[in-house]
Formats: sequence, structure tokens, C-alpha cells
Amino acid sequence: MATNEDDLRKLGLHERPPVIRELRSIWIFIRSWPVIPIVILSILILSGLLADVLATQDARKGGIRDRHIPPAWTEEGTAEHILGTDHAGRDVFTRTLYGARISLAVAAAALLSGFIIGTTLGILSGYAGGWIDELITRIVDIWQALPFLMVALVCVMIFGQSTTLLLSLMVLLAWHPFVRVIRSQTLTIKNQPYVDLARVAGASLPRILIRHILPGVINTAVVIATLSVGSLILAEAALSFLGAGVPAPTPAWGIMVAEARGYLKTAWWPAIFPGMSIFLVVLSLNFMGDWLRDKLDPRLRQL
Amino acid sequence: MSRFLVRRLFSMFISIIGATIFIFSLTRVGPDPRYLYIPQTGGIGIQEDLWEKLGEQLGINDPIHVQYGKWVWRMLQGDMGESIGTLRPVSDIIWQHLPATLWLALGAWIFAAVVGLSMGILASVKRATIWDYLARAFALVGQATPQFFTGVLAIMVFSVYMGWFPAGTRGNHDGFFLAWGNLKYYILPWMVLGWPAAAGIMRLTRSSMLEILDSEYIKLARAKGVANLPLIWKHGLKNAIIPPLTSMLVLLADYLNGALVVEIVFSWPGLGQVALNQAVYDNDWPLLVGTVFSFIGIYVSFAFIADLLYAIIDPRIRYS
Repeated sequence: MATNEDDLRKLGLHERPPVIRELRSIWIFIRSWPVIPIVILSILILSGLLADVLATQDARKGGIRDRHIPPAWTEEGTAEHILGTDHAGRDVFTRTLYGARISLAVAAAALLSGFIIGTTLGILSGYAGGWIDELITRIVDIWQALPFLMVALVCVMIFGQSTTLLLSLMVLLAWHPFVRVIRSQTLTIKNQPYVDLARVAGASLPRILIRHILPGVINTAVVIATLSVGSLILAEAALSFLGAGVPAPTPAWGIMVAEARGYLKTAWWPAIFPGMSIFLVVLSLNFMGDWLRDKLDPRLRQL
Repeated sequence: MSRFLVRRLFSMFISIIGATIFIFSLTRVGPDPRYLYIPQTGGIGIQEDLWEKLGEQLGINDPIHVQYGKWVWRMLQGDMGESIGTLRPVSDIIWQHLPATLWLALGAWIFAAVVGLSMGILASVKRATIWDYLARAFALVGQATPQFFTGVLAIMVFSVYMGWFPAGTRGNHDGFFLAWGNLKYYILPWMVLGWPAAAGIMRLTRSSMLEILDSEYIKLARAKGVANLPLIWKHGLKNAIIPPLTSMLVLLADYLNGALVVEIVFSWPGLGQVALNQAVYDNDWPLLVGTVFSFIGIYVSFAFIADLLYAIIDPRIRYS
């Protein structure tokens, strides 16, 4: 009997105390579902949505006497400014909340339009072939040869800094990852017998594209969307950092880091909290993207 | 091979034409292009007759394709005009700052290649051990942190608190390039710029190695009694290295976007710094166009070299 117990232990099949079993099942749940990223993301999305309610101070109002107050848990911190204040005496906590709003809203808008434009162009390019295909592929090639941040600087100089410009730039960045992959998927689907049958049965072109091609590529499109949303947020942050994002007094994470950069020696907190927020959002999104890809379309592992 | 070369050269040409058309049409879609050179007419700006003369110089009364042709022709001859802020030829400023950017990008690329490859191999060979988890954490953090934030953190920790590396200059460049006195200025920018790319290379190497190590012929070699090291290096890596190698070559061109941000963070005297701190802040339009086109030029030529190398490594690509 004793030896039997030992053998089972070696195989990891022995009876464990209930607490351990409980913990194990929780651990398995966490490993198979992206629980932690979802929690982090929901917190950040909620704080962006509820920024008006949660904010403890005015995001744009500072004061010369309130400059560089450290976070509340340090010795000189005050309860009024939980995460301290920046070089202009503005509340870092409040600004980080509003920054979540800008960052997530811009990324979501860009992703949605990029998703629609990119998927449409990809399907068109793959299904139509010929010169349409050639043209679309060429445009994608050219666009990828343009250094995005430099183009953004050129646009800022010509059109002036504005939220509209930021959104347009982000859309320009968001559409092109979709085209190539969706195009090649469409090429394979197009030659499937059921598409030919639909055509023979007299289905119209829009009907074929929407009812027969689109369902075949939509999973891939969703995977590409979740995989690229992290890089969109990073791009928005970089644009704000360079001064090509939303105009200045509006709190965006990139701007906050850029402004705090000059005072690192005396104050670390105005740079750390927005920077960490970007990091957490992108990390969670990347996790979710990987997870979704494995669930929906494992063929895309290389992306 | 020569057909492949011609095809690649042709599409490189198309890319450059497309890029110039794009930038040119941006200037014509926006407000009067004269405003890019002179803020306003009359008043504190420029007088009426000079304003007209500027218009003539820019040729804004010509048909649009003539304007574009003249503009591109001047650029092809290397004449990018004169910088408004410094009154020096734009090409001079670019030549002066180009080496800093190239060294930055190249060093970061080598860093990313070495670290990414070795970490990827280690992670795949020691799968599901502490090494694997460490390498994956390195990749996850690298891909999720904006470079300006890593840069700021690196300066804060290693320059301000530890005092190990200087930040904010590129040094004087006395003596041997690889001497510590010169090298110490480069280390932080290289690592900051190379980290995300290293992360990508590591992930690709790892997944590609895992796939190969799981294949039948590796199992056969193992069963035959091939020792562990030759198994990994000769049988495994030789076959697994193509995808990471491709992405490494393609990434070389991608460093330019990051280089812009890293140059700003480290006050690096390269083209990115010129573009933002001289051209954009001083409203120096000719200088900005010059830097943008040198970026495009570097990008396209790097991509071309990458394709060439790739075709040499993997002959299948030439025929697809």
C-alpha cells in the first residue's frame, strides 16, 4: 500500500489537501483564461470612462505653490494629491485618469476604422485581382516605406496640431496590417467550391463578398486587430511625446512623460505613473491578443 | 538572380516615387505652400511684392505636375535648398548628422540580433525552466514599453542614480571608436532602441526552434545518439534560423522610427533630433523635407539590401 502511494506521488496523482486542490483549480483557471489582463484593462477602461467622477482635482489647474508634491505615501505627500503633482502643480492621478480616456479612445477609433478599411481593401484586392490588386498592394508597399513618425511631423507642420489630425494619422497607421493577410486568405477562399457554386447559383457580387468571403476572414481580422491595438497605443503615446498628439493642455500619457522628463532628478512620479499605465495597457492587450490568436486562428502564430 | 534584382530595383523605384508624391501632395492639400516658408503676408510678415516673388520661385502658378517634376529634379541633384533657421544648405546639415543616426541604428541592430538570437535559443533549449520564463518576460516587457519611457527610466536609473553611463551627449570621439571613453555614450541608447526588436527576434527564434526541435528528424538524430550540442547547433539552429534572420533584416529598416524617439530622449545629435528640435520647432520647412527624405532613402536602401541578403540565404524567395 505504501509503495502504491509513493508511485502515485511520483506521477503527481496522489490525494492533495483540499486547499491545495482549490488553489490549483484557480491557477488552472488563470492559466487558461486571460484573467489578469482583463482585470487590468477593465480598471483602466473604467477609470477612463469615469474620469469625471473619480478625479480628485482639476486636470488642468495647477499652482506655483503645489509644484512637485510627492505621492501620498511618502513623507511630504498630501492626501489631496494621491500620486503627487507635476512641475506645474497639476494632480498626477487626475491627469493619468484623463490620459486613459484619450489614449483608449484614440486607439479604439483608429482600430475600428482601420479594421473596416483594411479588411475591405484586403478582400477587394484578393477577390478582384488584376490591376486593383496590383494598385492596392503597391500602395501598402509605399506606405510601409514611409517613416511614420516623420510623416506625422510633416503633417503637423502643414496642418497644425489638432485632435482631427491625430485621429487621421492613427487611421493611416491602423489600416495596413490587415490588407496583406486578409488578401492572401481571400485568395484561398475565393477558389473554394462553395464560392464557385454561389456564383453559379446567381449570387450577386456583394452577396458573395459579404456572405461567403467575409465570414472566412473575419476571425483573422479580429486576431490582427487585437494583436495590433497595443502598437497603436504605443504609437499614440510616441506621437504625444513628440508633440504631434492632442494639443498640449489636454492630459495624454505621452505628453505627461515628455513634460516630466526635464525634472527627473527632483521628481520621478510625474513620469512613472503615466509611463506605467502605458506599459500595463499594452502588456494586457498583447496578452489578450496572443490568447485570442491561439483560440481563433493558431495558423497566425508567426505574427 | 538578375531578374529578381531588376524586380526589386523597380519596386524600390516605385516606393520612392510614391513617397515623394505623397509628401508633395500633402503640401498642396494644405494651405498655400508659401506659408510653410513665411508665416504671413504684410504686417510683421513679408511685403506683397516679395510674397509674389516667393510664389514665382516656388512655381505655384505652374501646372501641378510641372511643380512636382521640378521639385523632384532638384532633389535628385542633391539640392534640397537652404535651411531657413541656419541659412546653411540642407544637404550639409544632413551629412553632418547622418553618421550619428546610422551608428545608433546599427549598434542597436547588432545588440538586438545578438541578444534576441541567444535568448531565443536558450529559451527553446531550456523550455519551461527559469531561463525560458526570464526570456519571455524580457520579451513581454520590451514589446509593451514605449521607447521614450524605457529611455527615461534608463537615464533615471543608470545615469542619475547610479552614475554609470553619461546621457545627453555623444561624447567627443577621441581615439579608438570602441574604447570605453567613446563606447559608454552609446550603451544606453543602443539598449533602449534595440530592446523591442530583441524581444521580437527572441520570440521568433524560440517558436521556430521549438518547432524544429519537435520534428521527426531531430528525434531520429537523438535516437541515433547525436550529442546534445551538435544536435542543437547543427541540426536545429541551421534550420530554425531563417524566420528570425528575415525579420532581423526587415527590422533594420524599422529602427528609424524608434531612432527618432530615442534621439530625442538622449539628446542624440542625429537626424531625428534635427528634424524635431531644429526643423519643427523653428518652422524650418526645407530642413524637415530634407530629413524626411533622407529617412525614406535610408529605409528603402536598407530594405533593398535586406531583400538581397535574404535571397542569397534562402534561394526559394527569388522565384516567388
